[in-house]
Amino acid sequence: MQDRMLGEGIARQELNLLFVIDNSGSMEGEKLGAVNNAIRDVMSIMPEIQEDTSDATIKISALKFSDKAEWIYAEPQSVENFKWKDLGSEGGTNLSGAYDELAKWLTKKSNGGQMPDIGGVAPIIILMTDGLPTSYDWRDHLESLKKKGWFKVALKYALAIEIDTEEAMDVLKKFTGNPETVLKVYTAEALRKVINVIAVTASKVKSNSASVGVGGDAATNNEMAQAEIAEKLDEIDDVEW
Amino acid sequence: MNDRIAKQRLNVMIIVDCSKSMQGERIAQVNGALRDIKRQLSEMQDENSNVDFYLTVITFSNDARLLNGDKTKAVQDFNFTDIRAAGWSNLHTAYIQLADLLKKESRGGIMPDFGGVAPILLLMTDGHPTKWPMTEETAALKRLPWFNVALKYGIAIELNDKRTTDCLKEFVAGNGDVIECYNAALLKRIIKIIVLTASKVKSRSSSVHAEGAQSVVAEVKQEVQQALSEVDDWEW
Amino acid sequence: MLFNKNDEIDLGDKKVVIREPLGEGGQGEVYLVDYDGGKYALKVYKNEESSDFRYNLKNNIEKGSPSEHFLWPKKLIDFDDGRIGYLMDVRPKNFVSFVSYLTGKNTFASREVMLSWCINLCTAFKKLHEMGYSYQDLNDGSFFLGPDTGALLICDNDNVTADKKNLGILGKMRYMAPEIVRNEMMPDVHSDRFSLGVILFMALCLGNPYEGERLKNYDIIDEKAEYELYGSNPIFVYHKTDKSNRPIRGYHSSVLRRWAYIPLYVKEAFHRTFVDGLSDRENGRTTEIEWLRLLMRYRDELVRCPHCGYEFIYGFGEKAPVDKCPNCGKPKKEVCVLELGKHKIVLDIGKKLTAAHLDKFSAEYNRAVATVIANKNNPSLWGVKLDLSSPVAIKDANGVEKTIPGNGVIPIVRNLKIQFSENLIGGIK
Repeated sequence: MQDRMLGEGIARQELNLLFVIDNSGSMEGEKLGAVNNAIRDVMSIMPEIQEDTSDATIKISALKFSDKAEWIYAEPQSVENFKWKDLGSEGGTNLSGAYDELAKWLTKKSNGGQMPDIGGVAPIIILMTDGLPTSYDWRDHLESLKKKGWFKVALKYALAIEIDTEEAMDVLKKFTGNPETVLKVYTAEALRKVINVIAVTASKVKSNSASVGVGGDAATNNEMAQAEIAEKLDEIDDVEW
Repeated sequence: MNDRIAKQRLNVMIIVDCSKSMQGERIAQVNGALRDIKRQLSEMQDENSNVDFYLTVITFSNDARLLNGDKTKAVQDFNFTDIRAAGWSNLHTAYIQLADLLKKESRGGIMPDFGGVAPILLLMTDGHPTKWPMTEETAALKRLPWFNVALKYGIAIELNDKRTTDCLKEFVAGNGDVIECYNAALLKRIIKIIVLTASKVKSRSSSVHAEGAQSVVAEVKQEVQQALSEVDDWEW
Repeated sequence: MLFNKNDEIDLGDKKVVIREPLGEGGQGEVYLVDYDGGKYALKVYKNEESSDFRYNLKNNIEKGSPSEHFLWPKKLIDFDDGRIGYLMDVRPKNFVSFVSYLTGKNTFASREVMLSWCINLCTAFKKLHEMGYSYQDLNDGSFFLGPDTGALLICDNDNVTADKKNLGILGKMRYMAPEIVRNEMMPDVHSDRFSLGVILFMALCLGNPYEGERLKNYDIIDEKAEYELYGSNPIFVYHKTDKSNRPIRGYHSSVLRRWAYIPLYVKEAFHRTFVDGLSDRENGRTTEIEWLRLLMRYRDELVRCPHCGYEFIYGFGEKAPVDKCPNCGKPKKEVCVLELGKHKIVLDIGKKLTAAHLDKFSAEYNRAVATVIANKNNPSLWGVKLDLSSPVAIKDANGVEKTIPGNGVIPIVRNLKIQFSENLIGGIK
């Protein structure tokens, strides 16, 4: 219905939501149980979230990593088509591999990635891990990833899965670049709040700005989104930030 | 309005020797036990979503009779009149009566036409069945599927007679146990232990374990033995 | 019994004193005990349990209870003979067993209270699953209820483990998911969800979702019959196309009577779990969060018949309009409806707004923040009594605006707009 308001010929924007999931051996048991459950619960209410995000179509991707990083679906999926299959735990924690895959994904479609060639809405990336990488060069791979324009503008969150050391927490903070976007509560309602706020705000900001390219405008766009999000997040009191 | 879950029927059938030798303490103990059983099974039923208990009491002396004339009755509706003892011990008439009942309702028996639960049978006697052997009557019982799946217990009351013990053993063969009651003063407690333990185990439907569970019969046997050993400990 | 009255168990620093036996199950015995100046329930396992079982129990005790609905193990006890046990809180006297509700000995004060209990149940399992646990052995014996309040207590939490871990328990027949009955899988979150569906069906319909006409194929329900009915070929009694296993008239009377008046969207949710969920165990079964939305919607649209007191649905989502009481046949009373976001709340006396109505990010599906009441002096005047921390603004049909304090009463009149927060405006129709 919103499509028509945007005028003929303008396709709805895609809002990419990406889960990056650590399913290494250390995640075995309650940790992975909680992650599997969180994603399925979010998917349960994704139609409601989609409704709230009226002028963008949410597309969902998932990347799991243990000894190596692997995509759950080759292409981003619509809300209806994305079906979650519980992950089992296995192997080491190759965070470097995950960052490399992520860098490829954050490339224009014409260059083999999943980002739109023209315009587009900043993607939402949610990393779920207990912060115990076994690939010790993950910092270097993160540095390369950070050079990607789409990574800079992406809205990055991390779910701290039963983390009790500063060192592990630091892995997540380095990823998000902001300690305030590392979450310790992962109920469906709390995650909805994150996705919802980002989705609504991002699409609103997007529709206010003439064009969103990677680089200058996007950064402004992102700053605006971040500012709005921060404001909204202040109102949220049952999520620990 | 009867707004509740549909349950299966668990028939508890008690066969009581009321020949002359049962007079006095023995029959008094039986009567006391039946009253307690009614009350306790009624309570157990409210906390159980699987089965409703139905009671049948067959008494035998010169001939076999249904207590109160009831073929079977919901336990909470069962009204006991004291059983009195007199006459012979014509166990074979009880077998014939039992065989009549262990048929589907649509064929004149008391077993449900579908979805039934194996009944619990308890036979108690202080000995010396008048007719012996009871080849025909026993064979007739053993032809009935409901008899074969039943959980069967026998109580030998102050009995020192191999023939009767053998008779009880044949009755319970393969699916139950014979319990000896050496002292009539303990009869009430023994009856209650058997009926209540068997009813409890058969109605509770425990959670299943991957390593496999023991059969209901084995479980009842074990719990009855345990409860009985506590009687012994306490008494002596 | 393993212990007698006044037996003492020395724990080194403190003592446990046995007071009285509380119960006995297949697995263990439970006693009322004194410990550290308070009363507790002590569960003792009859047999020696594996070290895995002990370790898991210890881990659960350390992690702590998922919510107040669980009678969670509090302290592990090792006995000298190698047995183990644990202390937990004593179940308060005002709770009765779910089984006694099924058998008709106890009832809920109202359908609304029953739904509140179901909502508590879903909230509890949602929380348990969010922590990455699975319960593994949901059955009728695990649950207790407050008949007047809808309060919930969950017992027998000793088989709770991390999802995809197993200690050997498979569950109880009639509650187990078919793939567990068939021995193809071990219990996990998804089999929990199946069993949760069974418990909800039992709460709403007083029957088992797979027991119908097909019972007639079996003289006796033995292991083979159970394997077929609940494992190899389960057919939901209200399967949309396969009608071979409908409830039996005269036997499953409560199911027949109750199913008829359950809202369509709840029926669909059962059908998903009991039909689609057989083949697609991970994504076919209705999840707790989905149940919460549906049960909340069901509770919201309940209306009480002024003639006979029967509670039934207003019928927003039904194919055919509900215009009379299904119990006495008298016309349905006209009641104002509050439209609030996606919610439609029938403003009958006693109806409650919850935190989840006002905040779509709230997980408090049972915390009342407002209740519909009648005016003491003029019972024909109804209002919404608020229990909020901040005031709300209202505007009537003539555009007259007013502020109602957080503990005030909003009059129920048609075409009134209520602003609960910046983005949430409700309207009374």
